[in-house]
Amino acid sequence: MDIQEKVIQVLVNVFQVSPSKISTKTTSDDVEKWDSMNHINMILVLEQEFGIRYDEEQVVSMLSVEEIIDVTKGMLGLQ
Amino acid sequence: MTTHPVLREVHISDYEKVKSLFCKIGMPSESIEAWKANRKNPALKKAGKSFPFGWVLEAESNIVGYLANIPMMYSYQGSDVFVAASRAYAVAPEYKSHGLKLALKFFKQPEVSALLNTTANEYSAAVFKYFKANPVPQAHYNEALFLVFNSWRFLRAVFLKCKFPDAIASGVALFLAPLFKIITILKQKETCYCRQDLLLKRVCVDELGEEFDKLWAIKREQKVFYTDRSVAMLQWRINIAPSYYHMYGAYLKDKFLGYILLKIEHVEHLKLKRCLIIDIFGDFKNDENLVALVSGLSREVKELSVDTLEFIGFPKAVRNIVKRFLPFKRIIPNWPYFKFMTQNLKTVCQDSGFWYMSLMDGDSSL
Repeated sequence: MDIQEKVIQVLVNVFQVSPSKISTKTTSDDVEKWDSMNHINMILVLEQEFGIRYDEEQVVSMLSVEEIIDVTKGMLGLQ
Repeated sequence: MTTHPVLREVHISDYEKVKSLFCKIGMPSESIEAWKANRKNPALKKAGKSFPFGWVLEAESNIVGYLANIPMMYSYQGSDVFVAASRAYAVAPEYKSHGLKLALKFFKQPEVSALLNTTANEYSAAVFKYFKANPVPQAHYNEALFLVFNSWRFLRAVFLKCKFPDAIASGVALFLAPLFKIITILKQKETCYCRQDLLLKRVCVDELGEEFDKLWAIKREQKVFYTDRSVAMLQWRINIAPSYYHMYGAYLKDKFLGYILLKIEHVEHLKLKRCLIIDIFGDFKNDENLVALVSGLSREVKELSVDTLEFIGFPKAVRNIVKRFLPFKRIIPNWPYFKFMTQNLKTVCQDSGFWYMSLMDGDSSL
């Protein structure tokens, strides 16, 4: 499973939405349950999934799937 | 689609817009007087630093998010410790995912030695945990101890909390109140303990004598983390809403031992008038003196026609005294969190008895 698929799977699980509702174009505005609390839950799951620790400044800006993928790839040295 | 909100420091001119935000999300807002009072906080004079009073998220000329930042001064072994406490977090539902930006500002503020959050709820606990904060190092802080003075109103509050309709809650409480009254009399009989040489005297906050500052000067040298209890700080805190506070000086044969500070709260949705012990502070010499003071306090409180008297926090030694009165207990679901920014505080906070924590800490009683 590549990074994009893993990120989308995490969002599907954390926000309890259908996989069809999440794409690379999805932003926090599109997901009803994407509030600050679930944002933290999502970050914690992503950190565990990829074995990384995001910078706190990055965490607050990861409000779209595209941004999450970019930041994660950066953390993993894939960009 | 919502626009990205702009994050900036709050200004006093934002008050009406912040109030609208609180109204929109159904939260009680602070008064403008409380905002103004915060800008006269004595902790600022002592710290001598420019300090942000909070941050807002602004979008399309509206305030869509707010987090207040309260300056507080603490002491440890005679040294001042400048602390920031968070308060009143609110974000409009359509900007709910942007709330962490406010939290990040709080955690990234320079020039503070510690951060504190006493707004114990699930959200703030999650945020503080994420930013590597810890629960306050005081056992049983989440266990409130309380005495009951009005059985009917207390039982009605219990049933209202259990979502009973008002009429049924009142009726069932009325039926059970006599039995409950007998239980409370039997449980709380030690509140009759009285000593002639030990007195509690009501004191006016604007006339606190030099004995209060002398007490604080002694206590702040101890190896205990205390929030500032100087006269200036006590007067500032109480004068934000003076009609809610009651202060009593404790005297042993006319010698000042310390004070007890109370706050009366009307819990509207439970129709309950409760009295919170905000602080018990002093050099009470021995346990028996403290027992007599708590006993005397319970008699004074009955005169205020309150329904319950509640103790939250305090070190084990003080809690053990209160437990001799066989109080009822309730569990507070979440803990306050703190984060020390300096290494020496991070080290010493592991010691038991490090923090004398009560409702004086953070924004609990503001």
